[in-house]
Amino acid sequence: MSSIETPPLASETIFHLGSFEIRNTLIMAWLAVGVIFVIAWFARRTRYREIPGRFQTLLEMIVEGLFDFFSTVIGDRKQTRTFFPLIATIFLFLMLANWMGIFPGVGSITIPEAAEGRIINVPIFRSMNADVNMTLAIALISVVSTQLFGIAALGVMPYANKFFVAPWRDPIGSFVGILELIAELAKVISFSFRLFGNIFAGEVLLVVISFLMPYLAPIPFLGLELFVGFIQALVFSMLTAVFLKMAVTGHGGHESIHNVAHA
Amino acid sequence: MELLTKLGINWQLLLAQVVNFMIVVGALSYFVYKPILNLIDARRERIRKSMEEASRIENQAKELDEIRQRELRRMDMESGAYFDRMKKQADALHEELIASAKIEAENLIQAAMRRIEEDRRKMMEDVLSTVRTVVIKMTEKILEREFSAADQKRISESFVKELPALLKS
Repeated sequence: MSSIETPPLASETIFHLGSFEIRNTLIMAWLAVGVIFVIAWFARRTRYREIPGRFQTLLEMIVEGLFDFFSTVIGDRKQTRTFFPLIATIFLFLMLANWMGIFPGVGSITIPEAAEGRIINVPIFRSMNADVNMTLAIALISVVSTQLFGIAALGVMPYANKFFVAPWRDPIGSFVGILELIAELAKVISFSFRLFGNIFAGEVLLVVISFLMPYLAPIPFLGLELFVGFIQALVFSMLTAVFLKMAVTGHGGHESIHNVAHA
Repeated sequence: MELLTKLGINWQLLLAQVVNFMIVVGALSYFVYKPILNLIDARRERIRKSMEEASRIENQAKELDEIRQRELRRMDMESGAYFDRMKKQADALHEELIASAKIEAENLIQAAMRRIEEDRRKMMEDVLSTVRTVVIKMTEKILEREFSAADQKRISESFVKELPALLKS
């Protein structure tokens, strides 16, 4: 009886471009980028008409649905308009990548590769978010964007005052500021590892279930993975929206900043 | 560092993923979000204007309806008054016509009565004249047979004198 081959924690290198490693998760990321680019290009080619066709209606439904949803989270349409490209892209890109991760062939089309003195089967395609590099990249983008929007809305010094308070003036505030700073760094870790953990766990789950009962049994788990993929994308984008809103709101929450929309 | 190696973290890959994400943000913003949100905003604005216009037209219609109702009430009242006036005039005319008809009828009756009276009088005169002539002739014939010429003349004259009285009685 063959032994179960669970996917490794790190993504596998398929080939090299000079010193640059082309990993299976990066190939999936490019595929996801390609799919989105083709859809976006096709959408542009159809020209947006006042009376929409089916494809335009679908796109409008998705964009307007997301906009209204984030608008209720942020509570200001103008600010939502400013943040929308970032948070909507996080949602759509992550969800598409998560769903593409359960396509037939992903994880099952392999190439043989010699490693540690034996031949192992390396999948050519692997779910994009089963790689910390991807989740960490989006987490960094999310957190760095939050800081940039906060600075744009409040100004450099007022924003820095959230983290750096003179201890002789306000000792408690100074301590809270340090905690805020740590929280910002913790956001990167929580963002990246939450998504990575969920998708990687799903991948392992599917491999184990497929090994134990290859037919029919994985189907409910595929459904579960679709749901997890959707929820994780939603959580990531919604948390980003909430952090963005908090970043552009001054101390005490009374100075809701609207000029960020014009920044 | 060992953990980072186990997780396969690679700064080049990290950068590549950041670039991938930026491409996706750019493509979606340029090709999808911006045009669709602009379209939705324009549509929302047009719907808002249309609703305002519809509301304005509705208010206008209400105002026009109120004016129409007011005019109808006024016309109703005016036509009522006119009708009353006309009715009074018609009644007066009716009374007048009846009165003149009565007078006319009375005159006609009077004229007829007069004509009848005249006819009766003429007829009486004719009858009287005829009777007188007949009586005289009859008397003459009787007298010629029974009385002398002087008696005949005296009796005739006496009879002629008494005849009107006799006829009247």
